[in-house]
Amino acid sequence: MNHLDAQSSLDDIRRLQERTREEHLRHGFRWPYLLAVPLALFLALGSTDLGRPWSTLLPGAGLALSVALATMNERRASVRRRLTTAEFLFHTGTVLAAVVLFGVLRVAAWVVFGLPDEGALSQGVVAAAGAALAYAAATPLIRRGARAIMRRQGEAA
Amino acid sequence: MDALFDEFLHVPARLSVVALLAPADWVEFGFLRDTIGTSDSALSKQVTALCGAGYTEVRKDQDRRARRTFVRLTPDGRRAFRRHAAALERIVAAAAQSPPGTVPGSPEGTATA
Repeated sequence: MNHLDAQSSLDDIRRLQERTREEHLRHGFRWPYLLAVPLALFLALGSTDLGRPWSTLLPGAGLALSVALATMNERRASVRRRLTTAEFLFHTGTVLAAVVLFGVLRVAAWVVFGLPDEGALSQGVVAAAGAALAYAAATPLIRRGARAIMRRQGEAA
Repeated sequence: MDALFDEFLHVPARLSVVALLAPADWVEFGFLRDTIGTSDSALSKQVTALCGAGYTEVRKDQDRRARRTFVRLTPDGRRAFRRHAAALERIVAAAAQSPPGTVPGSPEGTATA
């Protein structure tokens, strides 16, 4: 075994590991994920202005739908791996950022457009729609971030 | 040769399987086959050899449409892969530190022809 053979083997190892990571990301960001998180965000945040029982039922329905879609997606995956702590924190952070954006949009809906705080076109519904759309639009960035974390952890392992 | 170098793992087909398994928990047999570009029987032979060495384990899942086979590295397999990769890194690093015109690995360095 000379150093050129060793380097060639290492290059092959890295290339193949990258294929596994890419497959995990590709499958993880398929339509069930792209649908699940924004939908859950919209249902959970948009229902805050609807009053009972919708303010209780819709977040629960959104959560149940998200879990069902995520489970279905995971069961069909060719590459299965648990999220690491860093990945969990990253994804939680992206959802929290959407919640913060919801707060900002809600204030804007009230101050700029003078929308009411109840009804089908309330501040909450409009702000939730904006936050959900922003999350969906940011998916390529989220995917890039997830890839960077996965790659860094792979190199550290 | 580096003491951590694993002759059994270094067979290209086995090293490819292990490299694909390393970043994941469970990987589907079909993904391994298609990515490596081999046949079911050839891959099955390598996976069986890896299982025999205690480096991998196999699980069969019943999906609605088909039966799917998944493979994963055991903790021993993961350790062996890390050791082997470290051995390869050391061989490359040793070459980088050797004086030009010598072959690393021998005590004095052997002049390249």
